[in-house]
Amino acid sequence: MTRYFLGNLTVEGFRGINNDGDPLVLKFKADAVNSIHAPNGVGKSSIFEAVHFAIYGNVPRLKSLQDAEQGDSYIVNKFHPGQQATIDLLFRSDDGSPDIAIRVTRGANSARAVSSPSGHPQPEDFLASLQEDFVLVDYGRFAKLIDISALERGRSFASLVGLSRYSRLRQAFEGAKRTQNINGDLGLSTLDTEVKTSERALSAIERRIIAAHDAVAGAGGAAIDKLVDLKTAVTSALSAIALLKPLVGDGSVMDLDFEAAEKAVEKEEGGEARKKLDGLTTAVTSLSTVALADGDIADLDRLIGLAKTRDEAINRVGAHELHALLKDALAFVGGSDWHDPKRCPICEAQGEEPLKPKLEARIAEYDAAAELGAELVKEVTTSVGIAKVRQLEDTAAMGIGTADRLHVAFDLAVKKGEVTTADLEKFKATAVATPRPRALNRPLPFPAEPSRLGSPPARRMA
Amino acid sequence: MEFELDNSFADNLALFKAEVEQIDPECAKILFDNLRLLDVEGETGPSRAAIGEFHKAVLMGLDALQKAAESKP
Repeated sequence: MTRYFLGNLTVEGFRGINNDGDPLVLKFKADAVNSIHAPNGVGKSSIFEAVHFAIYGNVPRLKSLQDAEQGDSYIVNKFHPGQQATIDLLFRSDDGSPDIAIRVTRGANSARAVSSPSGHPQPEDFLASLQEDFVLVDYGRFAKLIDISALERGRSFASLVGLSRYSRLRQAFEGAKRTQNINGDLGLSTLDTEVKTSERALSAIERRIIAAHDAVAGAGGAAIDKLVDLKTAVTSALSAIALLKPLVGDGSVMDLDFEAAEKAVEKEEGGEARKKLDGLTTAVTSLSTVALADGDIADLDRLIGLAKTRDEAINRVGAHELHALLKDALAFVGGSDWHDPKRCPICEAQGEEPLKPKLEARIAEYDAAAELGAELVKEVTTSVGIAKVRQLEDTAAMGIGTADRLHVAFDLAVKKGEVTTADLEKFKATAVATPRPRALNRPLPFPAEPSRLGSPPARRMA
Repeated sequence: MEFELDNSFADNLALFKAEVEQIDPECAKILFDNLRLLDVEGETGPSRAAIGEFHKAVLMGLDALQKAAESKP
């Protein structure tokens, strides 16, 4: 591969270099480091920019200006009479190939043009090929190189020695192979979760297969990895059941029509009648758990007794309004405005004894009656008998509609502190009318649990 | 493998392709069919989005490879 060194650079009418008719000529040595030094303001930056403009087609400092500042208008030297910038570059090869001369021009009102005085057929492409491997380092870039991170500096050096494209591709491969990127882009984390969930589901299915095998074949210790053995054992066990033998035939359990087998078992067990019986058995079982015991009736009796005691106490002291009247009278008699303690402030009757002790005694009686009422509410709330009746009414097998359930209205009344003796007696009547556990616990003429294929009743038929 | 210092980038890439094809020709094809997504201009290499596109393209290539293998008698 031929490499080229910049041998000559000629500049006229570009940026700060006017040199009308007398271009600035610089000659570089291919086997040495070439440097340009001069006082400030004589055009060192313009030389750098001329090389950059020739190769890249732009001047970085002007490119960064705002559109309104019309940076391109400063490419051609404002005082050059011909109003045209001309940059000649001579590239010398390192392998004896002919030198290549390139001329880049730009008029004040025309575009950049590239030609080759040496006759290179594609001068634009030649300059473009230099873009790949050249980086021109001016002061700004050099200062930045000092400040940037080690990684960025490495990339910059890769560019300096013509390896920028290799460097970019290497970075791209590193980005592409990063586990986090692969997981995110390909959804591997989600797939991993799905695999784990499926594995758990598979494990559960395998356990069910083993359990079903053990139940049907009546043997333990089966291994899931020996599916052929499992199928053989289950087929053999089903063939041994007279009812299922015709369905299994000479085939395998895998060919069994399970729907037909289920119907055959149902028919053998009594069909619809058996289903109804199973339903009734379930209802009996559920009712057995909520059936009232003697202790529950006794608890209701205790509550009725408390309610009656409370009723008697209230009857003795009178209505709630009278209680309020007594309290008002006590407040009046005990006040400083009432001077005759034996005279009634309501009816003005004159007694022989002071009124205050009498009033206090009556009020105390009413308070005692109110306390009995509160105690009753508390007892009802924690009553085992009431809870049992409530549970009984809510049992589906009883078939009692919500509106007809005693406890619905009763519970509301209890929340308001209004427990009546009549309601409690209704509860007791319901409890007494309910069949007692002794009757429900009689031995049944059939199994208490509904039968299933493979359960003891199915094997019993064999 | 080692790149040749005097080679152009394209020539060295061809060396790399030949080396990868020796390892797995089908995967090498998927890589080089989609390499343009990673070999982009600019100072900082391909964007994160471009790498995502590359991954998706590789996944599609692998899927196609699997389907082709499954359809073989």
